[in-house]
Amino acid sequence: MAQETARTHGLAQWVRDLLPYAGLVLLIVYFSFASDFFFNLRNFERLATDSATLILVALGMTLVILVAEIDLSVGAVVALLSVVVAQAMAAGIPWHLSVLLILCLSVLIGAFNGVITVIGQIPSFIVTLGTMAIATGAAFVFTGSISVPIADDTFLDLFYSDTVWGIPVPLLIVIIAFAGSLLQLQRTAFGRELFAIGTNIEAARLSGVAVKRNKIAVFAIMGFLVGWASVLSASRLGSGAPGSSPALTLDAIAAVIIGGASLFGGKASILRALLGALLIAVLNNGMVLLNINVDSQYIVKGLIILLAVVLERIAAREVAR
Amino acid sequence: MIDARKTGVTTRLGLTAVAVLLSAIIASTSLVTAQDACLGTAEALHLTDAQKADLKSRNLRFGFLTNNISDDFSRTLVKGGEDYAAEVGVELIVNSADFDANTQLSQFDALVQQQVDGIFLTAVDAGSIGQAVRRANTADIPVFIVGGAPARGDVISVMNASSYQGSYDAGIALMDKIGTSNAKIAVLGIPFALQTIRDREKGILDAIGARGGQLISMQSDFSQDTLLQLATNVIQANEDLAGIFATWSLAVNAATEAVKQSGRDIPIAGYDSEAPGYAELASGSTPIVALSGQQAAVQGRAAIEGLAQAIFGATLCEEIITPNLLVTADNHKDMWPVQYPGTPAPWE
Amino acid sequence: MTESLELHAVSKRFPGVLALDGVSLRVLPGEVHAVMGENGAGKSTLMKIAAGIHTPDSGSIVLDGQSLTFRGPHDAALAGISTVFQELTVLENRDVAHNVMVGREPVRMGGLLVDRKSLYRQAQAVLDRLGIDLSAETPVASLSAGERQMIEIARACAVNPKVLILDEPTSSLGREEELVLFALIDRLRGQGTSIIYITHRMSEVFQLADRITVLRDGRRVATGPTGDFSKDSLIKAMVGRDVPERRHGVTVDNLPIALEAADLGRRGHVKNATFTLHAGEVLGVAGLMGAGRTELARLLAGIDRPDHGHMRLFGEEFAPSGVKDAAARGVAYVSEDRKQLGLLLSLTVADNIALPALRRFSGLAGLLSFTKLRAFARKWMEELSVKAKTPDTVVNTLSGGNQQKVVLAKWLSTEPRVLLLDEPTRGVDVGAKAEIHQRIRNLADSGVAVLAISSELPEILAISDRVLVMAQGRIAGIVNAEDATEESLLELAFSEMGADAA
Repeated sequence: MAQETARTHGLAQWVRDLLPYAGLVLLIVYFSFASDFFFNLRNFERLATDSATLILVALGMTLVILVAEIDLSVGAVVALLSVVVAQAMAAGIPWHLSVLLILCLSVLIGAFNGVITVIGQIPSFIVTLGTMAIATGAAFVFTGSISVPIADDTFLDLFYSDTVWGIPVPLLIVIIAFAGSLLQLQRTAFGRELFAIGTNIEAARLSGVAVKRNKIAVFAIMGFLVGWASVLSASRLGSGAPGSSPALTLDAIAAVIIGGASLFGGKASILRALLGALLIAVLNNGMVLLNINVDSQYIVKGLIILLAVVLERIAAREVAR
Repeated sequence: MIDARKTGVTTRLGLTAVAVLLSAIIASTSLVTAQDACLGTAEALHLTDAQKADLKSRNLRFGFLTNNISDDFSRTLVKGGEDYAAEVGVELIVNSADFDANTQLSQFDALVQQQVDGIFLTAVDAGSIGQAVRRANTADIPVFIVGGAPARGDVISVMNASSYQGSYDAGIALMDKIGTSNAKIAVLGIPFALQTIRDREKGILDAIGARGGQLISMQSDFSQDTLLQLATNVIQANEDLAGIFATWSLAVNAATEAVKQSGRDIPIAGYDSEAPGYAELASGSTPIVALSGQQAAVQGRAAIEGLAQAIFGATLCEEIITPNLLVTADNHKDMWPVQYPGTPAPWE
Repeated sequence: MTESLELHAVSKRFPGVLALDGVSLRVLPGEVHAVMGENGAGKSTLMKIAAGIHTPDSGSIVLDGQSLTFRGPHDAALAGISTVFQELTVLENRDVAHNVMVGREPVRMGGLLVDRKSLYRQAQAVLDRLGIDLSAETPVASLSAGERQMIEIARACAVNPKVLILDEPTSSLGREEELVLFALIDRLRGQGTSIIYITHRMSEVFQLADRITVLRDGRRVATGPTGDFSKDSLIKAMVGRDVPERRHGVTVDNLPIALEAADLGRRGHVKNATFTLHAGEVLGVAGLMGAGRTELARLLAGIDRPDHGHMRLFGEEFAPSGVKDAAARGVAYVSEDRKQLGLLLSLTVADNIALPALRRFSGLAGLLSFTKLRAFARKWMEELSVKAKTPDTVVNTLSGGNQQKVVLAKWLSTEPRVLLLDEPTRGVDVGAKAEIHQRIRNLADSGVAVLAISSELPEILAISDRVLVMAQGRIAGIVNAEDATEESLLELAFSEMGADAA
């Protein structure tokens, strides 16, 4: 029961299980040979800090996808909240209170998504599409389409370049979030109930699992992680930028899928989602270092997602046989 | 970078007499003095033959980042830069961010990581590139930016097309064509966090004001499809619409298409004169009155020259303005080779 | 007579299991050949080999004297072997004709368009030939489970198969629908079609089959004309031992009342249900499909909310806000639909058993103790003799009987005071069935109030102390099991509205 997924031993399943590990290793080896600037500590440190936003969102997305929901609003909400935190500081609110403010706000936005989805019985796909549009619009309206610079050096340094025990703060936040998510999913009643909900929501409900409450909690947790992602993003960009994260949602979903999750729910893994996110981060970093055009990067990412999804289907068929 | 250079030079001047002497020699040999003259136009950045030879011998690598690569402006800009870089033996690393500030930040950081000798960029969001510019400053890599100064960090200069003036001139041409006072004008734009966009909007608003017109609607989007819908709706909703001003290339295309579909006689002016706009003007029957065109090729060359000048120790002015062209049905044949040198015209 | 289908010495090994061990099966033209055996005996594997879904490791398939190799179900169908599987696969949003002719739609204009006219004509011809009283234009959504089963069979028969395989065709049917199905099978037999009939239900076998083959643990243990078998000998062949069947019937008057329902109702399903359930009794609930039995249980379990009426649990007001609430007060409901509603098939036995009680295992900082959790699961696995290697075994690898035991273990582990069982032995083999019956009895003896819904009257009579019969949403009567017979219960089940026997 420590296993996160049902054990099945088809070839496709085996390849699929291996994909995030092998893919990551292959990419690292490839980029190390292809670029003179990839395999060095400074680049890895930057890779770690730069991918922090994506990893946090992917961790939250893992829970959401586990219960067979989806959150399309994360990229837009990160942009909006980075604007809000920048404006809060511009208005003279101290940085720690500003951070607290957007964390509260992000949990509220997440819970809002959850409540509308669960109570209104509307597919989260639609709900978060709405939230996404609202957040994007709000970010542009609040700023008049011009990004809001952040002047507070404490904030800028703390969440980007400062280190604690030699570990960059963004990396530290990721480590804490990862450990927390892993424990939560694997070792708490809440986490095990999420697997039950994702596997068979009716059976879970008839077993006395508080399906609605758990789902709302999942969206709220997603919100909390999105809040931290916004802080890191704002610090990295040095501003609240209304159009800053268009690729974040896709990348986060891709990370979770590459990490072996099923969009039909019941199957997801925190560790693999982390590997999936790292794979995408390495891909982004390496391709930029090779000066590969951003549009070509989309194609490569798309192919990897398709590979993961096709393997998933073949593996599912192996099980059914 | 401007400020840092100035203070840096001042400090050095104050140190020893030898330093004073050295600076004087450097200044006199490069015919530029740090204190009293900065390079402020694209022409002023031009390199001498001796400087070109010097540049060639240095085997430099520059990064050249654009916010996107899907419009004629960006393509011409890149071509201008590449052509000139090839001429002076500079290796150019070109990349586009596809309008994603995060991507551009990664690309910028990657250039710093590769220790290029200079970075030129059209920022997706000048406000969000500052952190990276600071890292370039730390690594002693000169940065030359188009559009607006970054929120943090130092650049050698900000290059701008005359967004305000170009927009204003095209706007006046539109108002004069309409001829009546209190003319109702709609503006079609782009929701993009760039100073140049704001300047273009200000230019047309001032032109409308100067001729006693009235702004009745301001719509914006990134895609031509949506812009076409917006324009169609605005035309339908306003029977007395006298003219449309489009603040960027795809809006020009969308407005033209919408007016043609409506069958009404509504003149259009706009910012950006790209191939479709030229083709329209060449067609002989078009609602387009005038388009203000940025000289992208000039800017592309100036990008390389500006970075080279900075490496040679020259000081660039805080802002370098490249003048726009006002393209009309009458002059479009002459303007094309100026704006897009070496590119066959759409009517050829 | 030459046999139309012969499976000769077929073996099939799956990872860890020898599913079939040299099994031979000969089916004669125009006979109904019943294949029986406990779950896991190899029936399904054998049928899947005949249907071309599995390829045998050794052995051969001979049809009309010709040896065949199937690369897939399509090959088998072309050769003349059609299969109707247990799970219904009708297309919900199409009409009967599209369902019958699916994959064989007549086309015109070189395959560009479906020829709708001949589609309906051909579909209707199939229905008429089989004597199915349905119009080809009826939308499937309006059909009952039984009628849908007919559609499945019509689809399989649209190609005039030589051999038709039916895998537990009655598992989702009510009694009346069964009779229609049997008539259909008779007609097919008359037309010379060979029918392989897989079922758990003893009564059906004696009513329908010409010959019987019994499988146990992947081997064939008996084959012969139906007349050579008795019910007891058949059971003995299947389980390899004698299984006793007893009647019960305690007087409930002295037992404390556990659950009381008064005038309970939910629009369209349950009308004015008033009854008592005593601690220590098994109250059987009989009735036809759609009589409101499951719906009544769902009201008691807190899954649905009643429109009117009220309940008392051990004397206290009982109006559960949901399953969680009801479970917390000791009322547990075991669903009729094991796969859809009862189990998390892709999760482990422990995950399933511990689910309702999960939060009890949260220790320091809300972290679960897996040691305790596994021990707990193992205890309940042993208690119900669930045959699985470890608590970490994934549930969908277990046989139907063991899966049902997992569902029971899940709810028994919450130590309920009131246990609502909905079809507790559906799709379960004879051996496991007897175990489950015994378990139900023991529970009642230990003081649990058990309400058991079943469509099999012999089962109702075997396990119940009293029997509550529902008809058209009403309680048609409550009788002592000792005094009841299948006939008397059926009479109540068929009683018309207005004849309010409650």
